[in-house]
This record gives sequence, structure tokens and C-alpha cells, in this order.
Amino acid sequence: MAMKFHVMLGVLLGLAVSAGVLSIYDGGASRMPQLSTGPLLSECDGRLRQIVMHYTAEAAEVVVPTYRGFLRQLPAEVTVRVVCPDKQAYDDLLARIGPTTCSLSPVIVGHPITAWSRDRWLALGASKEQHAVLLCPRGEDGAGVWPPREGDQRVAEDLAAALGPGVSSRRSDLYFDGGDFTADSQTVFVRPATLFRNLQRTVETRDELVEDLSALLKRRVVLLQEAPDHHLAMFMLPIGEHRVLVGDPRMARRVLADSSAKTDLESYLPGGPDFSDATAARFDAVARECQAAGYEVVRIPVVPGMDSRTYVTYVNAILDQRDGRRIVYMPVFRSAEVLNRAAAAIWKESGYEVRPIECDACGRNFGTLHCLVNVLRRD
Amino acid sequence: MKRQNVLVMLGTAAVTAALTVMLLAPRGVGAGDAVPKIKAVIAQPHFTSQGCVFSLKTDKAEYGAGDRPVVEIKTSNPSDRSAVATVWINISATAPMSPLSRMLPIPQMLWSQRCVVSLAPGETRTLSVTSEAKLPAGQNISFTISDKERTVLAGNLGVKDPKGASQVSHAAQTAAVRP
Repeated sequence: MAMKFHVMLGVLLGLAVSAGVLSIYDGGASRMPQLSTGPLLSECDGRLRQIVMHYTAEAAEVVVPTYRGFLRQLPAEVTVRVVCPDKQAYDDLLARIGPTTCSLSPVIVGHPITAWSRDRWLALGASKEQHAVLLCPRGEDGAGVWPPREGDQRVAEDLAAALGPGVSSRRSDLYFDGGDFTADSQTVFVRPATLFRNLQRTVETRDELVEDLSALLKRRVVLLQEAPDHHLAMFMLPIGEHRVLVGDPRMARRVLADSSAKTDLESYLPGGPDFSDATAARFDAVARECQAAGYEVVRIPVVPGMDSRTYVTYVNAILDQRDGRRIVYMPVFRSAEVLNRAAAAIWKESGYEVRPIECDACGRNFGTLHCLVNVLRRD
Repeated sequence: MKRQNVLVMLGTAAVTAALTVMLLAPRGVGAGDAVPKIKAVIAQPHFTSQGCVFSLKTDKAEYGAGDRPVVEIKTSNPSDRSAVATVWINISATAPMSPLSRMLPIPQMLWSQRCVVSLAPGETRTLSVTSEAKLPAGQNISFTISDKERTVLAGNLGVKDPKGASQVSHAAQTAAVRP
């Protein structure tokens, strides 16, 4: 009898203690970044501090020339997180890259991934002091038939788990690729295909999509009406001080016509260059919309291929703002030296120090430097 | 109170508290937790054009290679006037051209069906069409409704390749065709 009484007393005491604990403990909800995320990270403002790249040994021939050129030029203050399926892949990359001034560290995920970091997530609120939220899409295009792309869907969560309390991940209601957006500190430009992927699937109307994106990204949203059917940074990039660089196939054609230098674009671009009026008009439409949004537009040579996917592009770049200078890590192509020079001149006129990065091999796979590198933090 | 009774009471209290907290505590926010929960997709996409509202339903949620989907198009005229509308029902396919590729190539049209409907005020009509195209293995398939100016994605799925979806041949890289 006495025993029963003491057990009952113990149960009551236990319930009282747990009630006290539960009233204080909120499951970590107070740390939930979802309650207050910062704005989408600007492409062009602030010092690069932390970036993320993917590496798989299968992609070595495609990405290593670009990675080597880029990583060897990054300053010591930049930390590079390298997402790899396994440790061997990371060791393989280190051996191929050689010494760097910036510091590299692995994030081993244990599942297949592609080499393309940019499209996996958007960095929200990731300035120096703020908690960074990696906003990943609801789903990846082609994940059902493409195992590495299915693995890509998990990378934001892998990164949040690896990088500790300063970083968390959140899955969006919306379908998108990271490359569907490009932002400065005021505006985020959005690819028209984002509407196609979400209309009547996640949102009822275009206005609802714009409203959702504005709330999510905390920037003014310009959802482009017409554009080349590719990720934005293949044909446009905000470069700061209310300016946007927009590609121009007609300008590229003029540069080529004015030069006696030989190019090898016919063999580099599947089907050859697409200098059609219809394609050029899509680039022009982007320029007009940027102007209408209040931006100064600077045109730069870009050559799309007839497959609409392979580009010789000079806006697929990574920008840094450091020690009072603006720096561009600009893609260059061995098959287009004359265009490389013309594009570098335009970047210089726009106030940038140009650091060329070889992108021939990765460019054949529909993306270049900007597509391979995602920026997690800037100061 | 005897020492043994105190121990029994404290032990019981500890077990009770531990179990209660474990069962009732809000789940901790791990780094990878995706909260808040994402909202459900719109179950039945609608396409409004020329005064009519169109929706599209396929006979299956999943298809295998070689299947020919049966597409049901439901059209309503919610207005108080007669309406005639023309839309196209399209099935397109995209395959990853290379496992190293950044993105899918431009989709290729497998099948397109022009549908002309004439509806009285308030009328609803359903039309069923069997696709002439057989779905290819290892490709991402999209069903769209379009009036040539606007297009709504009415369905999107992957057709698994029984031989292994990841085996995308390099030779396929030469197969890109501009639509």
C-alpha cells in the first residue's frame, strides 16, 4: 500500500516537472529562421566570404579547368565548401586543383549529386551577421529520371546539417532552379519559365506568384515577360549601381565580323551560333524590361548555340567587391578569343577588374562559372 | 519517510518526466527540417481561354515506357453566352542528355492535338483522346494545355528506364533538335 502511494506520488511529481520543462522548452522554435528570413543575397554587392561548389570525380574533365582557375585566384578570406558524394571525390579534387590561398573544406553527402551548385538553393539573409537560410525548390526538374538530380534535391539539407547553427534549410512551396533568379540589393529578376512551372500547380495566377516571391525573397520582383529560354545568368547579370549587363548576340556578330581573328564557334556550339533575329529579339526584350524597371542597361557580346542551351557567355560570372574594387571572375573560351577581349573591355569600362576563368569544358554542358558556384555569404 | 520510499518516488518521477517530455515536447528544429510544411499542389490545374475553362486529366498517375496516355479534357463555359474555343493539348518529352549536364535540353513535342469546342451558356463537356505517341523510357514527360499565346502545365512526370535511368549516353548529346 505504502509502495503504491509513493509510486503515485512519483508520477505526480514527474508530471509536474515535465509540465515545467514543456512550458519553457519550445523545441528550438525560437531559433527557427523561417519566422524571419533575410532578403535574397545580392549577386554584386559585398565581399565574397563563403561559397559552395559541388564535385564528383565523373565531372572532373568538365569542371576542373574552371575550378582550378577560379579557386587559385580567390583570396584567403574566402571559405569554399565543397559538396562531394564521398571523401575520395574530395581528395581527388584537392589533388587536381593544387595549392590555393582560399580555404577549402568538404561536405560529404553520401549520395549522388550533379556538379552544379547554383540551382540547388537560394541564400536568404546570408550577410555577415544574419542567419543564412538555404531556400531549396519544391522539386528538381527531371529528378524522376535523373538520380544525381534527385540527390541534388537533398543538398540544401545536407549543407544545413554540416554547417551548424548559422545555416538552416527550408523547402519552398514553389518549383524553381536557383538560376531562375538574379538579384542586386534592390531587385530580383525572375525567369519567365518560373511562371510556367508554377502556374496552376502552386499558384493560381501570375500576380500570386509575384506576391509570394516578393514576400519570400524580400526584394522587388521583376518577373520577365520574355527572355531566352535559359537560366538568367546566361544572358543577364546585375553589376551594381543600378546597372544590368544584358547579352547581345548582334553585338557578338559585329565583333566577329570586324575581326580577322579566327573563332571555332561552329564546332563549339551545337548547330553553330544562333544569330537569328528571333533569338536576338528575346535578348532585346530583357534589356527593355530592365530599362523599364529603372536600370541602366549595358550590352555585352553573348552567343547562344542553335540548341538554345550551349552559350558563349560573359555574364555567367562571379562578382566580388573588395578593398574598394569591383572584381569579376569572367568566363573565357579558347574558341572565341576575340569575343573574350571585347567582353573584358566592357567589364573594365563598367569599373571591374577582370579575372578570366577558362570555361570551355563546362560550357558544353549548358552552364559555366556562375552555374557551378553558389554564394552562401558576403560581408 | 524511509529511504527506500524516497528512492521509489524519485525514480518514478524521473521516468514519468522523461516519458512525458519525450512524447509531448515539440520536435526540435534540426538543421535540415523543412518547416513550415509546404502547401499542397493545385490538384486540378485550370486553363482559362476564350471564355472557357479547360482542365486535363490523364488516365494514370504513372506511366511506363511504350504507354499511350489517354487524356480527358473537360471544358466549361461559365458565361451566359455561347462560346467557341480552340486549344492544343500537348505531350512533350525531355531526357537528360548527359549525366554531367546542368539542365534538361529543350523539350521535344511528342504529340499535339487541336481541340475545338463549341459550348452553350453554362454547358460543360468532356472529351477523351488517346495519344498517338508512345512514351519513351528515361524521359521527363509534360502535359500542357495551350492557346498558342499562353500555356499551362497540366501534368509532369518521369518515365523510368527499366535499364537504369542514369545511363544517359553521350551519343544522345548530338540529338538535340531545336523545336
